[in-house]
Amino acid sequence: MNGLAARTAAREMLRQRRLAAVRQAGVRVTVYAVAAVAALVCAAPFLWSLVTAFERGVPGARHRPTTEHVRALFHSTRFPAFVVNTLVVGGLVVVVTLALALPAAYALSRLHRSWGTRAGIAILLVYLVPPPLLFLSLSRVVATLGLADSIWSLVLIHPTVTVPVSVWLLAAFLRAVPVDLEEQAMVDGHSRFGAFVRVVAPLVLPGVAAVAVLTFTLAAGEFTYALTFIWSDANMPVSTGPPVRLGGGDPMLWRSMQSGAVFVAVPLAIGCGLFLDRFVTVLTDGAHRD
Amino acid sequence: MSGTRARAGDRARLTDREGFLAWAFLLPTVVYLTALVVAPFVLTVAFAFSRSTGDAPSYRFAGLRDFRTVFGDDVFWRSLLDTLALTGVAIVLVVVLGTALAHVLRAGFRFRRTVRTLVLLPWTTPVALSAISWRWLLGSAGVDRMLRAASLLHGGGSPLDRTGPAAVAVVAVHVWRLTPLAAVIVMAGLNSVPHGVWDAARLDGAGVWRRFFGVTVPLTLPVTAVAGVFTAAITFADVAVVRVLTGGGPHDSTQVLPTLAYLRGVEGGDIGAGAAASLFLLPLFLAGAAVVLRVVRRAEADR
Repeated sequence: MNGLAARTAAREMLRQRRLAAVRQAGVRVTVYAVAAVAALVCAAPFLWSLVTAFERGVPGARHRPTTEHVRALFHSTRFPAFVVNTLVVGGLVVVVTLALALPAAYALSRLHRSWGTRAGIAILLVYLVPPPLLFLSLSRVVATLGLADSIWSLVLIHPTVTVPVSVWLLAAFLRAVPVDLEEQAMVDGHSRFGAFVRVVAPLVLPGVAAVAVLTFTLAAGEFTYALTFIWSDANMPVSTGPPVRLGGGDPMLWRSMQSGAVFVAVPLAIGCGLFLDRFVTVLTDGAHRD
Repeated sequence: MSGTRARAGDRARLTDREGFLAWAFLLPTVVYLTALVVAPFVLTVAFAFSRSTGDAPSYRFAGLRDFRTVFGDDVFWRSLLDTLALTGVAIVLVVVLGTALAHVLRAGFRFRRTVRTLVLLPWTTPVALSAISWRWLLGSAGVDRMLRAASLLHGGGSPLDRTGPAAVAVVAVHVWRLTPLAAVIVMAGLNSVPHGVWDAARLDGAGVWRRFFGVTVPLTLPVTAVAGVFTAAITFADVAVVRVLTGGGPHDSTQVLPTLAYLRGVEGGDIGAGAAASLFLLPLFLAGAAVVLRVVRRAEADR
């Protein structure tokens, strides 16, 4: 009698375990399927660009792959100049953004003022201001300053987009460093600046690197201002050069341009991918705290 | 005793210095953003009541002339509706797909790193270049060719030259581009939910869907709202997708307010009319700001 009950219980347990295993397998299959589809959809246009970049001119016809379109991109188009412009603008925008945002973030996260929270929210809201509300006036500002059709106009204006995000993220990264460490350093005789440089800076450096990469990505991708302020081929960044200059012209250049899109897309995605976990963590802390 | 008093004195002096430091550190950012965001906005409002053109940009007051021009423009009404519809549809799709993607990206699986990098592509690539790639994929050498081969497309004109499909393509590219951003934001929201909450719900007998709609959704609602606001703000401000993918066509059927403002204000040279058209983005911005303020205030009340 007892044996029967035990056997029934054992069988029931086995059944439950099997059910759980099936369910778990189902979850795993779903996760893999969704992940595969998501990756494919996200990469789809670039995969297509990559495939067609090595195709000879005639679509569908069977030919050996060719590198002529990729070579044309670097020899017959302004693409190298666009890339250099974007690197220069992006690099300078990162410098300007960090110079403005780091002290501001320090003030918001460390120097407890009654207006701190409100100032932080106001700065974040600036990020939501749509550039189309500003580009007509800013193009007058840029022209008045004598920066029209110069990459310096972008160095001046792009931080309006990147500073608000950076202040907000850097403040979150700074909050993640325990205040006690800094206070201890000050008690030990370091000045506020010394404590920041010796104790806080090393801990917050990865966050600063993450913000720098994000700032560069945003600056490289900005379209509206670049389209409005710059009209000479030689000064265009990579976000407006290819669509404005290569789009209308020679159909053969379309394939070259497609390979150009891939050349830009891959490094930016890899760069941001390196810091993805850091962003998620700091946003998580932000959701906890604020 | 005296030691404590000395420390209190130090601290008072420190706070005084903190007050000064806080101002000194924040001032450059405040000045910069005031000069290049707040002031230009005021200037845009002023331009909307002016006779300024690209050739004669100096300010001449013109009353409501620009608004009469804008209201008499059929393309304006079309752009206004398109902007609202595009933003609404994009918010819903991006939030739903982004939430699904966030759940999957949190799960452990092989090739996770590769998948995450690929999933970031739409958001990190300069949007105009993405639009170029999509145009190539949807145009004559790609989807168009396949559809014709399968006899699903007849007659002249690729999908991007047809009114309905062109509008769908614009929405699709926006959703494609912003879903990864929403996924990252929602992932952060999911991480901040303590694991015990789900376990407790499971012990209480709640199934997968019950746990999702009864626990996950309410707890991540604030962060989902923020994801929605960012999606909206980036979508209704975007010039690149429409400009590069469809050029606003066919027959201005896919124009949105930002591209119209560019078309009238820069290419047409009528700064006043362009500024007046762009001002209709202001209510959308204010709505987004209101949602953010509400989320922040509620989070403060919870604390």
